[in-house]
Amino acid sequence: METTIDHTADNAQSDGKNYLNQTSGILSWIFTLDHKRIGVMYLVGVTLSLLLGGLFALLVRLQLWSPDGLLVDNSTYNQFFTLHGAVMVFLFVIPGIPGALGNFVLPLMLGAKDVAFPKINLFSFWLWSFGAIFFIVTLATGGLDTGWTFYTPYSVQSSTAVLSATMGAFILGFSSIFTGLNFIVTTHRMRPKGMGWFQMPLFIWGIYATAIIQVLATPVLGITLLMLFVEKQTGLGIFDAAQGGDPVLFQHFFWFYSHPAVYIMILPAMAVISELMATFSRKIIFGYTLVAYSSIAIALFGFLVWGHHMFTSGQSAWAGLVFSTLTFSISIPSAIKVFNWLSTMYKGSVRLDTPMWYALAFLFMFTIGGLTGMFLGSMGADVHLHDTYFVVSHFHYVMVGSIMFAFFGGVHYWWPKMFGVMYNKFSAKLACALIFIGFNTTFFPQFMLGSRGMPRRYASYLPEFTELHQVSTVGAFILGLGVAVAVIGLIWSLFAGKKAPQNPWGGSTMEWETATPPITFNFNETPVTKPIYDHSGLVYNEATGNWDRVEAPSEA
Amino acid sequence: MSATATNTHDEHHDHPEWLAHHFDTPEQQFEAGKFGIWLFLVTEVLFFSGLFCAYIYFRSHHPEMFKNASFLLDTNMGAINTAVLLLSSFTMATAVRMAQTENQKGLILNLWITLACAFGFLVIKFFEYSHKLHVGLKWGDAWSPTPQALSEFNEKLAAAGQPTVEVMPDLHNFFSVYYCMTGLHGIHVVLGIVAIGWVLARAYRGHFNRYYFTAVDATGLYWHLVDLIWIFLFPLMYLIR
Amino acid sequence: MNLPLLSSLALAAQQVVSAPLDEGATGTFWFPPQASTLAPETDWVFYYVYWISVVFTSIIVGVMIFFLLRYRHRKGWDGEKSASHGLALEITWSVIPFLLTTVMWWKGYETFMVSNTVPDNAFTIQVKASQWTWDFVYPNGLETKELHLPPDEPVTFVMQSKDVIHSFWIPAFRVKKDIVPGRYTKTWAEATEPGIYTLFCTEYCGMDHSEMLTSVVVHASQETIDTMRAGGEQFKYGKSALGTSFEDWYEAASKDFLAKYEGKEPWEIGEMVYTGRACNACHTLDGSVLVGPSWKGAWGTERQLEGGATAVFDENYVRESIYDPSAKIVAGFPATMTTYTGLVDDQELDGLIAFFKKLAE
Repeated sequence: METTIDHTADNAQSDGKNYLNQTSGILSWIFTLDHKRIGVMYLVGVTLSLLLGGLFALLVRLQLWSPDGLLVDNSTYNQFFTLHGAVMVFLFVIPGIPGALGNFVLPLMLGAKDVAFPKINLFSFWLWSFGAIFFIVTLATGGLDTGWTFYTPYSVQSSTAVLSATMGAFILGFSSIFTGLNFIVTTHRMRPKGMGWFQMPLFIWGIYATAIIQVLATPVLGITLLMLFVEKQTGLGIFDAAQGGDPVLFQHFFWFYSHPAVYIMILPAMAVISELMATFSRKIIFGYTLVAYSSIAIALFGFLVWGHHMFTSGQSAWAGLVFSTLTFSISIPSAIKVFNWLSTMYKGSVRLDTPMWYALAFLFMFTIGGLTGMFLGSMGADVHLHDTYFVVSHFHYVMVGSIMFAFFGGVHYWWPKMFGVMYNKFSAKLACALIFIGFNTTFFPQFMLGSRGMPRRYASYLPEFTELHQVSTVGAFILGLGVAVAVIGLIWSLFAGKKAPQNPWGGSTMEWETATPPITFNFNETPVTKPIYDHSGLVYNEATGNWDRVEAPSEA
Repeated sequence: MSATATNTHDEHHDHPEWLAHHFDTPEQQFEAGKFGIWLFLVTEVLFFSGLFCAYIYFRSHHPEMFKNASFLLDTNMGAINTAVLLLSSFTMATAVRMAQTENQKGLILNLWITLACAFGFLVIKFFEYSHKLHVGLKWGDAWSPTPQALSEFNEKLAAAGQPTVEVMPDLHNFFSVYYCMTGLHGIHVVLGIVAIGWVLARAYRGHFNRYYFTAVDATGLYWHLVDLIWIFLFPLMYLIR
Repeated sequence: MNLPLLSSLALAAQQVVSAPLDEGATGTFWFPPQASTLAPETDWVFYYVYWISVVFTSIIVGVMIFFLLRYRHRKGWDGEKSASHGLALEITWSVIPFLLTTVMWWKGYETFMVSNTVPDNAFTIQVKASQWTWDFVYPNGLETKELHLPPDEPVTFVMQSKDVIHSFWIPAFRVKKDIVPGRYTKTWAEATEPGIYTLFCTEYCGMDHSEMLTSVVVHASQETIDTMRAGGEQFKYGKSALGTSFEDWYEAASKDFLAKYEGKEPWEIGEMVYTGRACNACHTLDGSVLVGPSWKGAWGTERQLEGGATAVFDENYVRESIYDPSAKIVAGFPATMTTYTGLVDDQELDGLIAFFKKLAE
């Protein structure tokens, strides 16, 4: 640790080891209680899931190259899009940022030694792996063709491996619940002295809001999937119209979870972006308090809008009106966040490092994703656009354009801290540019496809849509290439990357005060809480590439 | 594994054995544990809430079905089970108190009674289930009441001063809901037995003291919730007509 | 893969796109042609949100680029102190979006209510969705696979599904409604532009979901056809049904369709209904039990019903069981049958009754 001249260098271990090489062997990872190692295992797991889901996405796009389907028959195509959706949603987007980055960063940001319940944390990761295994079993035993939404009665009728898939999703749900529970308790009980709620980094606010939804909404998904499972197995009849049940009841249950789940996905992404905007503008997030509150507002409103997925399902117009009202009210806190992030750059010292590239791309695409959501929240327009490519494009702008960008932004931001190495900045920026271009080429044409009349989940289509579909397919391959460049670049850095300094970006939060990579117990002494996002004590050191904390008064 | 990585740690802490390394004080550990178990109970309530919603939905769509079906449930057995669970909740609460006051014998005795009640509940439930399955009062597709079910139904109707019927009405939706809710509750009782057994084993090893009794406390809270859910299920299924 | 259907649809679609009746029928960058009264209203809401989105995206991207250029770290610029929050600003950018979205919300609701308020006494077409075909049944019993509509007249669609959830979507009309098994859903449309459009299933319904589409033919009015012919104008769509008014098409098609019963004994009509309406999928004639009770020797017998009552199998019982099947359920059978109102007419009902009598002989 001679490269750092920072006084916090005493956060080194006396034996010179860190959490990565403290112990070795595969078992030392599988049975670790260290939140950092669990975070790293999540990172590996969700990235593999991203690649698997991406593979299905490319197959989907290949099939749609020609109007009558380039590759496979209808049933195989139905499996492609179902598995793409299910793998991406359940294995990547929902656990991605909380599991990988949240686990690694949250305790460090709090100056804590670990999360509140390390064993439950490990159990949660095991559940995730177990759920993932069920999905692999699904793949191997007949696939899945119900769409990731498992709508009844089709899911009851389908002869594919619905049982193992619902079981997998059920188990993943519990993984999510336990992660959320852990983070809530950690945030409440493990804050260091002097860190009140409004001295917490916004990343923690975002993860905390996410955790509330995980704990409150996911059990409902659990019971719904359980009922579906029993229904399919024994003919229970709860969702079967022929037996006095109601298929639309399933949709209510499903969206009661799955709409809040959208906020389980986006809130952590927003949380990451807040950190990136603050660090790379060297400013406190403009309107910090409001941004913090807006996370909670989004989490709570998120529970009350599920019916906007069902405007055309025959629910009463009155119910529709209420859901539409609540849907629009949730757009306000989202808008507030965007404006506040933008204003953070005002008079800042903006540095365009790789994570900031991702953050700015996020701002652009989240704006589009959010604004196109209003077309769908407005009942009149939704009747036309529901279940078309317009919807597909809208939620991909949120889930990929926003969440995947935030995920990559966060990974590139904390990578040096996690593994103690710097990646090649050129290839990382190239990857970001490729993903950005590829993504927009893929999905912008889909807005047009949708409003012009292309329904979603179609294995073939009318010839008039050919050109737009082909543009979209080309884009998907550019996007895939970009993801590959990013992943390869990161892995390459593990072997050939320069040694990273303790604080390569000038981050002001506590995770930058421990050694790089962190020691096993994070801190020898719990760090002192400083004013939130105060960058004034940090000075860039050209020689080491590190931002040294100098004891200058913050008035400087 | 982190347990071996204590060289830089514990230098300036005097951690008791039961205080996990990442907590600073016993209070912090206790508060965290307590908060955690309450959150877990919230998720449990929401887990059951889906089924309660299904109950409300079906009851409002088929009120006569739920009225009829309540005649077919054995109120006596249900009432005994309610009493058994209430008793077990009391002994569980006492067990927590005993752990706090470091009354080792009392703790073990009360845990044993709780465990016995839990088994008793399951045994009674087993008799209820097996009789219903025997006379064909099943869920959904499997609904196939036997003549014996009909005659029992008519007995109950007559006892309640209601006109008897010649054909068993179709009650399969009710029994779908009934088996789901009581079944899920039963699974929770089984999990409770596992948890109580684990606490009991730790109690024998003397793990608990006035500073550390979180496991007893948490298991107790969980057990009260299981009890509470039954307190709702019993009138909703057996009593309301 | 059903290629002939797709390619014929493609042909139809090309016709509409390449040779419209008049300018109103062309598609735009964002939309297919506006062919119903609902379309302009829906598009208004869309464009309202659209232009707001364009303005906001431009502002956000513009400000972002400006800030990047102005405040990028470089020699001589390392940031400056500035306010960390500003109440007036925060209120401004909360209230403006709030007001704009309120309009979206209300106009969206109004438009939705138009599509959701089914007119009384309109011409009614029964829509029967099943994996993976559409059947349309007109008031006189005519059944078609393609949807034919009169221009400038509201038409109600009463929809039912035989199996899973489907959704009825005609993009050119901006009309969409889910079709849920076990209940009727209704929607309506008033076509304004003659032409051939496409109807899609938009709720994923299994293997051939992507082939569950058909044509919607909106006929030109007799007046238009007459005027054009009188003016010596060649009717552009002479080959397709567009050159015929809806009334003429309806009469001709019905005649062909209904002629199948001509010269038949009533019980023979009943037998045709028995197979044609797929009664035989659930009811046998030999006494064996499928989903529903067998019809063998049923006529005149006393039926044991769910709930303990009994009923005699007579004319009224047959009528009720067909039009309101859940009213009387035979004991021991599930209440799965859906109504055949609008699918079995008086002649066919009489035929069925005659058929029952014949079976009991």
